[in-house]
Amino acid sequence: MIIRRPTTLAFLKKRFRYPQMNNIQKAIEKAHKSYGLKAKALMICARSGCGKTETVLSYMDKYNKQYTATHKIGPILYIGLSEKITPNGIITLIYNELGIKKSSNETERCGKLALILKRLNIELIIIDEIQHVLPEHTHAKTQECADFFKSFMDKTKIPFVFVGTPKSTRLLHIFKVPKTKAGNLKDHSPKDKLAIAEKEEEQLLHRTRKPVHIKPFAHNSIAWTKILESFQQIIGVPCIKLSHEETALRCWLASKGFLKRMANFLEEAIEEVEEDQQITLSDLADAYDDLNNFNPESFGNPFTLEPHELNKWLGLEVQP
Amino acid sequence: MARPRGATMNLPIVVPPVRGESTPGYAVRLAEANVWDDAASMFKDMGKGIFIHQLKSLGMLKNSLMELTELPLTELSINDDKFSALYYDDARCFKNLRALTPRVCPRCIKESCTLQDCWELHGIDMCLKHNVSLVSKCPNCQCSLDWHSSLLQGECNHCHSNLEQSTPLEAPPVYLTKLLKHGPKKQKLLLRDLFLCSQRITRPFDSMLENYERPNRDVSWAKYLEDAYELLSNKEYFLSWINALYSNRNHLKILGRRAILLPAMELIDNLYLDWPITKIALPHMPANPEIAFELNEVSSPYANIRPSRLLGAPSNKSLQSQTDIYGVARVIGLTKGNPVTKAVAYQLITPTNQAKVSRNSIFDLSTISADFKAISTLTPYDGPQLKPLSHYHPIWPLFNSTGLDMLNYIKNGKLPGSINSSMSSFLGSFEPQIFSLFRCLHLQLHKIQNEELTLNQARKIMGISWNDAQALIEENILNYTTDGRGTKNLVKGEDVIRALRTWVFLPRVCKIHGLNRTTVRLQLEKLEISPVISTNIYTKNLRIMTAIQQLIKS
Repeated sequence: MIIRRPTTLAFLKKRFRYPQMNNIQKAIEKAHKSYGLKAKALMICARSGCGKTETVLSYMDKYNKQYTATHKIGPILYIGLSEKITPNGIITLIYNELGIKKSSNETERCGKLALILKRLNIELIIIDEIQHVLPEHTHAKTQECADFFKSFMDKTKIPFVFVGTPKSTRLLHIFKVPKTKAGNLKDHSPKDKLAIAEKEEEQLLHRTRKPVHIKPFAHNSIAWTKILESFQQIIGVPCIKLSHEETALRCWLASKGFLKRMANFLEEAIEEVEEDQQITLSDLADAYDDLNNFNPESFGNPFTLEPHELNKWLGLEVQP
Repeated sequence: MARPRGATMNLPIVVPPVRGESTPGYAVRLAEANVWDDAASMFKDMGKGIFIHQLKSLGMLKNSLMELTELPLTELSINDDKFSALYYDDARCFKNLRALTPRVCPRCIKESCTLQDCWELHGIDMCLKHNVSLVSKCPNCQCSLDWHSSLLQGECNHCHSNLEQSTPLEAPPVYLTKLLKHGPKKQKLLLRDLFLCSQRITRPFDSMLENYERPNRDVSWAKYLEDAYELLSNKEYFLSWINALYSNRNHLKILGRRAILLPAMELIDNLYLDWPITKIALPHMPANPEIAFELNEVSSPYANIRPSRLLGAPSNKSLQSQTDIYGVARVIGLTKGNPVTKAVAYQLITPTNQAKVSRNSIFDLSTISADFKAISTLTPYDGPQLKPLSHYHPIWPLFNSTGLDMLNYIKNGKLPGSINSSMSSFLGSFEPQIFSLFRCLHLQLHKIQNEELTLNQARKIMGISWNDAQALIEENILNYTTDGRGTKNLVKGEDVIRALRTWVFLPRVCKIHGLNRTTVRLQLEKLEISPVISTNIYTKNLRIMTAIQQLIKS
């Protein structure tokens, strides 16, 4: 079996904290505190690669570690949704995370799940990739999912943390549409739906804290320099100084401030660099060439461009 | 340890087993803790098979529970020193003693919220603590109880009514009264004896006690246990059974009293506690048992009971004289030196159910007694002493001659030999006698002239090792071919006979004549006679034959 180099694997296993993470975790903590009485959910939105999953997992691990000696399962559950998810599917995912399978009707499964979560003292449920419950993913199941989250939160008093792309906030504005006599939601005309919306209140909005948005790091921010310094510390092999002004700019142009992209470049460079050799701009340039599929119309390779070309590119990138 | 994401399925809530709790009862409590309604659903959902099937084997059930809970087996077996130890007994008659559907004492349930181990044991139909009958059906809806979590609250799983509603108090049977007088350790032994004896009740004239058939799950043990207690504690009752044994197993008398009394002997020998019947000295075999035994006046308790297996097989008189390897060893007087395997290898006796001897082999004493009867009138042989039978093993079985054939040869005057007339032991009367197998082998050798033997058979006939056989093949003395499947090396019989005529195989000669191989080899070296092939094969000539004859004489 072909596996990656030990240095690469060690790099992949390492985590570090960054300033934004603390703020987000404070917001999660506030939602977490609402457990037991008038539980309030939290929505964390960010584009892919901003480090939202890392942030919630870091929070979960921090709390669950305290329970490792005595409990099989810590007080925070994490589940990642997949496409075409339904409320029943969400229940199944939570059961799977608990380590059990349960077959019966949806109502009974839901009731039993609430009971076992209470017995296990689960205090917070993190649901990642929440955008999969939006209409384009779930074929008109969004409302059912919103209803499920609302009623389940009411029943269990366990707050949810929803993690997803920025458009996930639409879930909070889903309103309850009564079924027609034929029992079909699709039978409502858009006009009817608007009328219903005026009468009905959004199901989740009043049970949710203000959404937290995570944005990519700016090229000239101190946070970006600190991020690169943190990468430098965990990289595990000799490497040029990433936080150097010019290199930091090259890194930013390559990753557009997304942590995941930067981590991918470094992973590739660690894997490909000669043993006992330093990672240079050339190695990073090779990694960029191999991995850049998100920026096809770029000006070239930011790790090989001349400084004046970098500034030109930067000028275009930061244009309003 | 906290569960890593994506770990294998096992239960998130694990409750430890409680002392005195039954294993299925623990499964119910575990299911309830993990919000299942019943143990069967939990097993089904968690992919552990069908609960009712697992109930039939506590080992299997515990393995599943181990996987579900990640608890060590020792923790799941904390109650094995109590009643459940009976279920693990090696003997088969102690299988299927557990009820597969729950039975509960509603009063105990209220106190402990656990399903007790002792409630599952067939025959104990009452709570030993509260003196009330165990409930197996709901007194309200009359439905059988199931392994449902509502049992832990003392409620019916169908109508949810309280099970304590109409539990009648009743006087326990005698054997349970006796049981209550003892501590837990002695209770276990007493129950063991009772169950053992109840096996005898269900098939009174059968020599098989505990090693073959499993009892049927549907047997109502209470009645049998009552009878068993009577049999164990009432001497007259027991003696009347002995009387019945004499009349029912009279056709086995040629094999001695042990064959007739085998069922009684087996029972007494396997009891753990001292019962009144263990003090009874079974009568010696008289010349004519029907006259010497004087208990005919007492009517047999089993006179009208037909022998039948618990499994419900049709009654068959031949079952009366079937026995296992222990029984046959006892009847025909086998000892450590003469195990059953040896007697079977000589084809003196043959199992009825399988070719090889195992713990499950069954022997028919009727057949053995008929064979023995046929040769019991042989006249004693007073010829020269030859080598004992065991010296010819393993050459003998290869010539399709059974021990009974040998005796027939003797009877027809073709071979010298004799039979002991004391008949105290079938094999004992047979083996110490000397007769010529060797001549018989020579008579039969021509049979293999046109046959193909496997290399192993040829090697055994020649009495040589695999290495020596290989050397013979390399020297082209033996030509071998493979069979149709290409798995066996086949050797022509004529090659083997030619080899026996041309060569002297030292291990064979030494085995037949009881000589020490090293000594013979040294003597031959002194006479400057060396092996030609390998280290054991010499050319057959006058010098070597004379030398061997001298060694035999010396």
